[in-house]
Amino acid sequence: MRTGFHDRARTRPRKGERGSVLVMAVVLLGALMVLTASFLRLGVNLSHEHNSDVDDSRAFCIAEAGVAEASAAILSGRSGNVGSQAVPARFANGIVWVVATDLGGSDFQLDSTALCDSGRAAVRAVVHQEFNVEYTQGVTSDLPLIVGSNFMIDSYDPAKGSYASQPKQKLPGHNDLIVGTKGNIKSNGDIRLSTNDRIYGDANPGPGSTVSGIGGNTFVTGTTTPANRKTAFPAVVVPVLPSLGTKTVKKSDSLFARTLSAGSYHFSSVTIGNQASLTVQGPATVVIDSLTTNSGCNLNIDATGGPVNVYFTGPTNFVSNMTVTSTAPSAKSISLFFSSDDPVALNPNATLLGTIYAPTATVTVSSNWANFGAITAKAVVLSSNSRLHFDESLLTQGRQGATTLALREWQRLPVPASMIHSRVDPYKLLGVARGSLQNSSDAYH
Amino acid sequence: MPITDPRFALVLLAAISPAFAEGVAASQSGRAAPPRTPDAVIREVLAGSTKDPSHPVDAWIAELANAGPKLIPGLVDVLANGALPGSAEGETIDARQEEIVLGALARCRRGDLKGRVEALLDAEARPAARRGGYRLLGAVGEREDLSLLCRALRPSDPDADPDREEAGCFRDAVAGILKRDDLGYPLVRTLLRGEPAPIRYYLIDALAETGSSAALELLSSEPGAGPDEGVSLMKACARLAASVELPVDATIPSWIRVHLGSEDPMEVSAAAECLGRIEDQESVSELTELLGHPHPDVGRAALQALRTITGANLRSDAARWRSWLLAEEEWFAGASDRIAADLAGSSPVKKMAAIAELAGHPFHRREAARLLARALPHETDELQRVGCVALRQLRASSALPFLEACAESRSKAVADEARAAIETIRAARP
Repeated sequence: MRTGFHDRARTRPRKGERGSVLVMAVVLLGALMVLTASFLRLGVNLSHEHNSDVDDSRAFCIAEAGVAEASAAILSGRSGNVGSQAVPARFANGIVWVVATDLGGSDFQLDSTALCDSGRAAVRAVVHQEFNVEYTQGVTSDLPLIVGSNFMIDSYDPAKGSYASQPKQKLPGHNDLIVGTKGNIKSNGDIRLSTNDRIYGDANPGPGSTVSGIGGNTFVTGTTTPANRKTAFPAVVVPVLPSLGTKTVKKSDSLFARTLSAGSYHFSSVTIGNQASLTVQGPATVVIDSLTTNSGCNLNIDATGGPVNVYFTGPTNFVSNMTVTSTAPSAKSISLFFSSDDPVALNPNATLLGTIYAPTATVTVSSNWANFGAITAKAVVLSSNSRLHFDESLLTQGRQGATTLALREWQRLPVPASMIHSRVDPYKLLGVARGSLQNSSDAYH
Repeated sequence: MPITDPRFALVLLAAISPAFAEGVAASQSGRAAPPRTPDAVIREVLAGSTKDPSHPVDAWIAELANAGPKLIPGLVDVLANGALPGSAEGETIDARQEEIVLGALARCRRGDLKGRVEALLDAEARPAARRGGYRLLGAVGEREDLSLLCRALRPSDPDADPDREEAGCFRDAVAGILKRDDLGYPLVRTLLRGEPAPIRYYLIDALAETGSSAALELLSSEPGAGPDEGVSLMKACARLAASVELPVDATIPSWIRVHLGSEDPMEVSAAAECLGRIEDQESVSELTELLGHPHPDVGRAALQALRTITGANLRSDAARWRSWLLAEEEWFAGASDRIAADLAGSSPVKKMAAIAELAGHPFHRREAARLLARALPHETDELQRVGCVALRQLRASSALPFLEACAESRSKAVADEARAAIETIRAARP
């Protein structure tokens, strides 16, 4: 005990030292608080920076989504504009607007700007609109398909040579010399076959519809099962080209004047005179608002140098004693599009290696028109004794019907300075009410 | 061994005895091997080619060609008649046999064929024979045959067009002759002035097939061109421009530039395409103006041409192009002397910086190539290698001779880089 007392007495502070520990503790505590405040501030700053990065990333993603929305708008036949800076569209927890500019030649420039909390982003994409049709059948008709008597369809693969050069075979029990058995025909309604029609492939009517006329010499080597769903007939997208006026081709014109060399043309009317010959060389896109042909004239399509797409936007008159010829590696290379409702009568002597697409017109194919490819139309009337040879290479196009967009250019754009300097809530910045904005998918115009 | 030695006689006897024995055997059997007639040889070879389709065509051709020029009349007859010599009427040769006959004739000299090709090209000859005649002249013809080809293609009806298939053979034949004989070009110039439009059309097509600078020069000068021919001429020039060696003669772009003012958008776009391919720097301001042309083909061709000429990848914005071109001109006016001095100086650091600066200005790649080709040959391997990298980046086709010299360098790094640059530049040509 004595010892303890003695120790306590020895550690007791002297009078002048009283409270010094407290001062030191306060100083240390103060320093600690300053450090804590500094780290807190640093943390907050880092958090803000992080949040800002996240917001910028979100805004960038929304701007990209804006480009996707604008593309969808173009594909649905709209201008491609989505919202506007005055009335933007809502997307996720941000806002977006896209300004679309038609650059011509089926090119569209899409400038998409997006804001998300403090994030801002703008991107520009230039997309090119392409029109593709899926040809999986030799003949496809939206309305009931009417087939005249003695019609025959088979198929061939152009990679193995021309139809004429390929070995022919007779299927057991049948008399025709044919190449392949993928000569399918299809309709969204009934298929009405006539006497002695021979379909070397499937004949698929539309949902709930039937194939009539089978029996005797009329047969289908494949299935006749109705399709599960109707085939879509997307509208033809005609390329926008400045008109070069009228084109009249006379027999006395020089070969230079009677040849459309590779390029893009739009004529308000084309007239091929008596005995005159017009040649279209690929790669070419030709828009013809009105076609007039005369006795003994000739239309040659030469796609050996590249594909030829001819768009007929108005009345077309193919006289019966004209000739249509084509040179192409396969039917993929030549496409005749008919965008108007005017009926199309394919009467001439023709050997067309190509496809015909007329989603709003009735196409009548005469027995003189030998088609190596495919025909798709609102209504197809196949005359008696006509022949069709489906080009199997069309099956490998690998594209769905309808229009598609291809990205030509992409770049980030600078966001307007006024939006960068003020990183406030986007709704406040643009002065719009949160509940008043449409979803981006509803804001196409 | 002297020939008087009896052993020599024995050796000689041993050598000739098999031949002697064969002769005796033949005479005893009463059928001496008759010399095969040319027709028999032709028949045998062509019949054999049908029987043995696995045997390559070239082997049959060689067999006929080795038989010598005595087969020529018979082979021409086969081609003319489409039948084997002495065969029954209606028995025609197939495509493979025709190819063998043509192949064998194509190995003859033009002089050996004398006037026989003319018979094949006669207006009354069968179409396959005429096509064969064109192909034959394409293979062995001389410049004197160009007139013959034009005569042959001219249809008897002056209003009719030549047969398209024949016209294709004609084009290949003319191009084939011109590729072998540069002296044919002046003759073609004369023909272009005198022949009717359909023949001119296919002559222009044939010239475009040659891929030569001489053809480009000829076509760009518009020999005998009619009012409708501008598009075809420019399209042919654009095709040629893709394959000619650069730089081309200075007169060519000046002739082509005239077509940029045409009212026909197809002619303008083809001219723009051509100028881009020959990298004509003087046309950039005109091409910039064409960016806003209402026809999309023209705008697209002008943009592509500008990108090829300048090496810049700007968008179709005329104002942006103008300001960029101005900036490039200003840079070059201020920097060219300094860079030349740095490259000629002694500081490797400055040389490296000068090369790097040049590499960033592809519009002036021709000048850059000239500066580098002058300065680098005596420099260190490292500088040479960096120079090759710069030239690759610039895609300077005018630097190809310098790069080819560098590709032979003893330094592996320099040679590898030079080869890579050559490959990149060549691949950049359309």
